[in-house]
Amino acid sequence: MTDVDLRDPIEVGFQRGEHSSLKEAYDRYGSLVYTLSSKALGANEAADLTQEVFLAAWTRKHQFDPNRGSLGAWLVGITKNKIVDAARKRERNDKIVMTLETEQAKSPKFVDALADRLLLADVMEHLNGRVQKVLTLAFYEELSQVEIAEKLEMPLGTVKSDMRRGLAQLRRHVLVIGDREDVYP
Amino acid sequence: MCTRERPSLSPHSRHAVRSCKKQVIAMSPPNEEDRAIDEEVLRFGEIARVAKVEQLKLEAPPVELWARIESAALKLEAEKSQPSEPLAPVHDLAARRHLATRLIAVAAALTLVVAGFAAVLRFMQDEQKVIREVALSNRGLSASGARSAGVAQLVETKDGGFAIKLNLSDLPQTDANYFELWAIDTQVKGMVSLGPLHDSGIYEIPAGVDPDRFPIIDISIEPTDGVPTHSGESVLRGRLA
Repeated sequence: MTDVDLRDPIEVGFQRGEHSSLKEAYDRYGSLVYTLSSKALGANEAADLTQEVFLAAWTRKHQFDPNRGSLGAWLVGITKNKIVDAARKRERNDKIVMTLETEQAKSPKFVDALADRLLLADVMEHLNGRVQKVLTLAFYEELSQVEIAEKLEMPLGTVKSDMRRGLAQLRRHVLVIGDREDVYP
Repeated sequence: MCTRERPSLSPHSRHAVRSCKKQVIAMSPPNEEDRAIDEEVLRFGEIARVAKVEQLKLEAPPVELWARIESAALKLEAEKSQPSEPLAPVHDLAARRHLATRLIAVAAALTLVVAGFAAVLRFMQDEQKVIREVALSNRGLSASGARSAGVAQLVETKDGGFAIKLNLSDLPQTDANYFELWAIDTQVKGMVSLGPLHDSGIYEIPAGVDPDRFPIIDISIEPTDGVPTHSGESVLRGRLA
């Protein structure tokens, strides 16, 4: 069903362990990992956590499988685990003051939902202009394909294929529930 | 409340949707694919709208973070015993052998004195350092090896010498013959036998033999006729440099 070329050059390079690929992955996904860490654990720990995530990813680069999802989704998977671990550790250390933040960050469901929102925001930001417009109207204004075609003055067929392309990208990044941490330890 | 409803505009568009918060009623769902798209749009749309309400924006990490990550990654790579990119230049090999010998001597002295130099001990006990490697091929060689494959690595051994480490699969069955490993020079004139194949996969290169002079790694099928020269029939070959 997908007409998307899934061979993202950053992903290919990363799998091969090419020297420049760590920086490319960081440039592309550093903000995503950092923002997720920061929203879950606070700005203080976010930088350290981001560093841990990218180093762990680089060490385990052979475990990344592009058929299971995007590099971003994989990195977020690593990030989520580290967040939950850090929150649990915090809970053990700060026995007196239990903050709401830690409480939430301990919960995989909460962190999952937060990660989904950030992944989606990240993908949307990086979509090709027209595809982005189509999905923006579909998501935020809840227009049908016909309505979108009318509003953007595009043929319905083009709207359809743009939507397919955009959804294919989203699918790679925001994994279906059930395909998650059991796949990425 | 639902206020939005627009009729389809053309007889050919069979797809109009009235949406009301989380409820989607398809007016006339035409086919599987359109339905699947609708569901996905619904699912992702929900996530997108919550994200928008929260004004979720991506923030960049502090500028100096990359430098920290890069240097930590370089340190990790240096510590690994197998570099991901092979390659010591040819003239370095002799120097490397001397360095290794010196390190071993120092390490031996230290271990006698202090037990805590675990890092040095670990260097000695680690797997051999891979200097370079090549995938072996059957191309142009004996048909009996058509399905065979393997990798040959030039490694540095614990005592500072060199060896070939082989990883092979699907060698042809031979009852009356055996396999022998050779290191051959670039003119294919001189060759050194590294012995018959055996289980350990590690074949020491005799001290005094310069691996750079004999970079072609060859596996031959030898009859048990007691004649020590290369039979002329090879199953796998590759060049290490």
